This record gives sequence, C-alpha cells and structure tokens, in this order.
Amino acid sequence: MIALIGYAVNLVVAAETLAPLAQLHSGIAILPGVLWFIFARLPEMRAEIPRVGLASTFWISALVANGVALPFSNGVLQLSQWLPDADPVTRIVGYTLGAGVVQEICKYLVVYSLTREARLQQRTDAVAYAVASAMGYATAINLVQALVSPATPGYASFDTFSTVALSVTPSLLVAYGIAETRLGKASAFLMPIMFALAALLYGTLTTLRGILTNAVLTLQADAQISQPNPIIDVALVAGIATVVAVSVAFLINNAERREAEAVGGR
Amino acid sequence: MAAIVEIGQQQDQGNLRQRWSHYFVLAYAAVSIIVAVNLRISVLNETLPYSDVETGIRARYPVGWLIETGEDYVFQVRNVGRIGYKTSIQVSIRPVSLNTTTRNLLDALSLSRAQTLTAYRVLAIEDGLRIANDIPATRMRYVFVDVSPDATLQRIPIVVEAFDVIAIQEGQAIIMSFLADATTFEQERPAFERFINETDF
Repeated sequence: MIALIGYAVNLVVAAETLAPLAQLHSGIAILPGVLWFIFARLPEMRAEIPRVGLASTFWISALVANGVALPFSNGVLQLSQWLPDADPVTRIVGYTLGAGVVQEICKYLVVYSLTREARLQQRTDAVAYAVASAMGYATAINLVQALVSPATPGYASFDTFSTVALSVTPSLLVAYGIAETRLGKASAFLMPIMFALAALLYGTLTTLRGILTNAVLTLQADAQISQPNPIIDVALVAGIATVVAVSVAFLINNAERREAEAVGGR
Repeated sequence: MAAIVEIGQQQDQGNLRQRWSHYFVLAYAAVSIIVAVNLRISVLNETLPYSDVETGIRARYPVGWLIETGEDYVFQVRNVGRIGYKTSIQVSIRPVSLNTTTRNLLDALSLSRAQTLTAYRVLAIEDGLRIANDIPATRMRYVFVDVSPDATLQRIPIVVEAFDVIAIQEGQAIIMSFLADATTFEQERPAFERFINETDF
C-alpha cells in the first residue's frame, strides 16, 4: 500500500513538471487502464460473488513492471543496444528469451501468487486475473514510455494500443495454461509450454512490428520519403490478438463442456 | 457507502502436478534469461575478418562498423550507428629509420595533433606492452575536443578520449588508434582490446 501511494505521488509530481506533449501522451497511456477499470472492474463489484483481488493484481503488476521488468531489461539485458540491428532470427530469439520471458514471468508470478488462495473457481477466472495483470503491466510500460520519450497523439495512440495488445495477448495463453493446470487434469508440461508459446508470440510479434512498420532507407532516386506505418502495426497486432482470443475461448469452452458432460454422465 | 467484503477461503497449496508445472515454468524462465544474456554477449562481440595483403595486416573488426581505407591510414572502422561522435579504430603504418624510437614517434604525433586538434592534451604514456606475436608496444592516452567544421551544425563540441598503441617492427611503425566520446570511452574500450588481441602483422 505504501509503495502504491508513493508511486501515485511520484506520478502526480512528474505530471506537473511535464511538457504538454508528455502530459497528453501520459493521458493516452493510462486510458486502457481506465477503460479496463470501467468495463471490467466496476461490473465485477456488482456481481453476486465478485472476484477478489483483481485491482491488487493490476496494481502489483504495474509496480513489478516498473520496479523489476524495466530495470532488468534496460540494465542487464540492454536489448536496445544489440537487438534492433541484429538479423530477424536473432531478433525473434532475443525478444522471446529476453523481453518476452521477463514480461511473462513477472505477470505469471503476480497471478500465481494472488490466486493461490483458491480464487480460481472456473476457467474464466484465470483469464480475468491474467488480463488484469497484463493491463497493469502495459499501463506501467506505456506511462514510462510517455514520460521518457513522449510522442504526438497519433503515434502515442497506436503505440499504446500495441503495447496493451502485446501484453494481453500472450497473457491469454498463460491464462489457459493456469486454468487447465489448476482446474483441469492437464499434464505438468502444459503450463511451461503455454508460457513458452506466450513468450514466443511476444518475440515474433515485436520483430514483425519492427520489420513491417518502420520507415526504410532507399537509394532509388524516384522513391518517396519513407515513413513509419502504424496502421499495419495495429492491423497485425489486432489480428493476432483476435485469433488468440478466439482460440483460447474455444479451448476453454470446449474444456468446460467436456467437464460438464463428464459430471452429467456419472 | 458500498463496501467489498473479501471472503477468505481455504489455502490451496495445489497438488504435486501443479507444483511441478510451476517449477518447470520457473526453470524455463531462468534458462531463457541465461541464454538471452549469452546471446547478448555473442552478438555484441561478433566480428568480421579483414586482411590487407600489401601491409600483411590481418584483423577482426566489430560487426556493424563501417570499414574504410584512406591515404593517411591503412584502414579504419567506425561505429556509424552511434549518435554523436562515431567511435572508431584506425590502423596506420609509417616508415621509420633505425634510430627512431617509439618516444620520438609519440612526440612527432603530439606536435602534429596539437596544431590540428582543439584542446589536444596527452594524459598518459605507458611502455612495456606486448601485442600480436609478442611485439613490444607503447600506449599513449590523450584527449581533444571535436568541433565540427560545419558551422550550421547545431551541436555542442564533444570531448574525445583516445588511445594510440604504437609498435615498431622491421622499419615500420604500426599505429593503432582508438577514438571515442569521453563519456562512453570505458564502455567501448573492450572492442579495442579485442581488436588488438585479434590483429596479426
């Protein structure tokens, strides 16, 4: 609680001293978190048996992102020094084993720790906690991005969306792994496999975003000035996120239907 | 005023299968991070070969650095990806007489640089080094201020820190220079140390 209050005070102090562009970017950065709170957290309070600890999951994930994941990625792995110039295969491996694994292990440990007290009653509970964690994590990353290198509202919006999608999409895979491990009878290897897939998804998407959306240099005399293309970025990330969300929903529905059939057949 | 009542439930420690899956995840994450750190080291230390038949120099320079040849030097490699002063390694050869010592050469270099470089100062001279094939060498550390000749370029002059490693062999002085922004000199220095260790004459 003390850490949360300190973090909030720090943000308020920082916001007062920011340039207008950074203030605008900061507003856009926290928008997904606000929307999550309005459309996911508030309705939960009106539920007959509300899920306990969703807000804690959000805030602790944000603190872990800011206090552990970012310092580790920037200070120890220093990804920006060597990955952007590497070949695509090295980039996929580097982003998967570096940023992807760091991001997923931080969120996984938060969800694992906060849901140990029998908070998972059905498979969708795992999705709810994993998404809460992913939203908190992405909000912290977006805020740091806004404070360190503020962008114009257009690019800030696209970037914020992509960061949120890159945090939530792999979390859906981890959520499926947690749900099946805790509530189903899945093998002990399912969870690490889903975890590895989540990190791989993050690494591949991050590399593809760089290849497909960044501006390119050309020596052709008649070439137009190349500019980054955030539309492709959003389309790519949103497309993959939709496919993963539909697949995880199908798997969870299928598992719950089979379980219901098994219970009914007894 | 609405209040949320948390209903405490029984601690669920999980069965053996769940605990093993958790341990597997932790092990996978630990191994992945170790591999990522190793990958970082191997990418940052990756080098490309260069050989000059005329002077008999064989060297390996960092991947991603731009290699150039010129009249004043055999070759130089520059880290063109760096913002600000481009870290560079330069190799040049000068004919010397039998009586010329490395100290004579260092003095000549200093006199010449003092006239062309802004605020040129020698920081230290160190004898007794050994480079490729156990050739004795001398190292001179110096600084100067890089002021761009382009008056329209809006940038603060950069303090550059540099090394010269000089060796005399068979009537030739081999001069290997390493130049970097003083603020990142120590951080970039290992690239030069590797370059010296992997260069043959």
